[in-house]
Amino acid sequence: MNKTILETAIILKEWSLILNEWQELRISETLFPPHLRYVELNVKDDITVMVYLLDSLMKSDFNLADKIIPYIPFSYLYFAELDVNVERLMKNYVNRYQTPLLFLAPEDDKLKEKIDANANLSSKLSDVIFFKRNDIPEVAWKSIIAKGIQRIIPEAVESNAGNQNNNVA
Amino acid sequence: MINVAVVSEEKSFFDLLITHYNRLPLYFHWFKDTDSFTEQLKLEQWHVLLMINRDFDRLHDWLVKLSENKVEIPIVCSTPIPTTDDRQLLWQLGVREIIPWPVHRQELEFILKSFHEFLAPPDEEGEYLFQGSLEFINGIDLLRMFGKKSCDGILHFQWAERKGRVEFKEGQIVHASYRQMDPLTSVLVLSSWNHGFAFFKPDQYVSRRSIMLANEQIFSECREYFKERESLLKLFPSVYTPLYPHPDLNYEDFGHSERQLLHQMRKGKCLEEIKNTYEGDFNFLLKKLTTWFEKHYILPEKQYQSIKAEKEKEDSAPAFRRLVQKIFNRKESSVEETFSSDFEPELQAEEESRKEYFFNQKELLEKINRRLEE
Repeated sequence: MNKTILETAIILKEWSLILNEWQELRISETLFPPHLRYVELNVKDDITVMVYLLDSLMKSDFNLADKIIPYIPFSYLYFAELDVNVERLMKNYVNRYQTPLLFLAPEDDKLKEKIDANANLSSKLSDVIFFKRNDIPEVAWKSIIAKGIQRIIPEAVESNAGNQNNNVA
Repeated sequence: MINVAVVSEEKSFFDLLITHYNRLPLYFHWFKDTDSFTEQLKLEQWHVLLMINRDFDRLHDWLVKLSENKVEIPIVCSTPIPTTDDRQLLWQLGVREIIPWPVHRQELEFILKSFHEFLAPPDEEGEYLFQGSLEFINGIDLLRMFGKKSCDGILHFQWAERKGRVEFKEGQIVHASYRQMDPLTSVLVLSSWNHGFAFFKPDQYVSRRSIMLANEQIFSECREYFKERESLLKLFPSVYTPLYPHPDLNYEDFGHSERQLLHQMRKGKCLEEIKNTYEGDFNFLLKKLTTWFEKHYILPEKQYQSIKAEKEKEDSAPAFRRLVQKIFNRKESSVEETFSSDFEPELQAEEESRKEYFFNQKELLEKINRRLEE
């Protein structure tokens, strides 16, 4: 069976923070380039998602990120709280790359309250992709990837809706 | 100048003194032992006898010999840490002070500096040849007053906690000290004061000459210093206009003292106030302030208030919105460039300089999306 591998990246302050969300994640490290950490998730039998964990943007070190970000369809900026680190990561990313950046955050009432004010936000950030904290990584990432694709290709949503309608008919 | 006779069997001690403390107003002369010193005792007027010896017994013998010869010069002894008994013995033999080893360089410098006060007669009232307020006299004129051949002594400057001195030898300015500044800068700064008072004290102990310029050259330097200040001040609206740091200033870009100054300016400070509170070289500070003013790091009140109002309006927007707008809307919105672009150069990245987006397999994404939705 042919396998499709989708590569994406998470921009975050410190790679280990991702373990706060999914303790059971199996994080691997490449030999070359060194210190590049990634997670492989089988979201479907024929679809594997390769998620690179990039924390070097925090230190404005773009060596690793330059090898990945320009070639992937989109990246996620992960945050569990809104602080200056988020701003710094955003700033470094936006100033360096043209690759679309999406926001990823856990479902958290306090965080949502903070983000509530985003109803009238710029069109470039319609909303944040929230994931459920208790979901297993594969399930959570299935939804994260789907939402991610729909954010950058809005027509994908329409075509999907069309397909479903056809099926119903 | 204080003449110090150094009696030490090892010349290396004397060499250390003349190498490290040559700028002090002390003249050192080496004698191998007390015999050679007593032979030359009458040839020079000695103010202090500094006896250095590793061996306490040998030091004791020297002191006994000196008391036999009835030498009446104040004696200072230096020896490896003496016991209480040793100390008592030394004091009984007429030693004025004991410098135990080991001694730090700065500590020794402090002790050597104190020789001057330790030997000088106590101050008496009415001893000053001149005393007056600096508010009514020009600094150069004041210095010129003591340029006569007969003037030997120290002109003390005092402005609140600040103290400085200019030393004259036969009417020539030979040395000056104020904080950690070099002698000439000290003269320039002290002569520019127009607060506090000055008094002149005739004194035979003045420092070794450290300013090699003739008086007229020094005065000309002072005039240049005034002119420089005048021209720097002209760049500001007025010395009484309050100045404020820019609301967007990143204080981390500044050093400790600069941050402190900027912090003090947060409630508005005019140049006159800064001058009165700044203890260093004000021209130096003015140059820095001029650069800040040109770069809009500091602003006059009106400009500051308008930027602040704009900023407050922006700040009142919800936090997350502000964060996102700050990053994404920068290029879209026509935000006026209110200050120099030096502030946030990292945000000036243009579209062309950003790394290209190479991913073009849109169909693949659509396919994945369909599979995920199934």
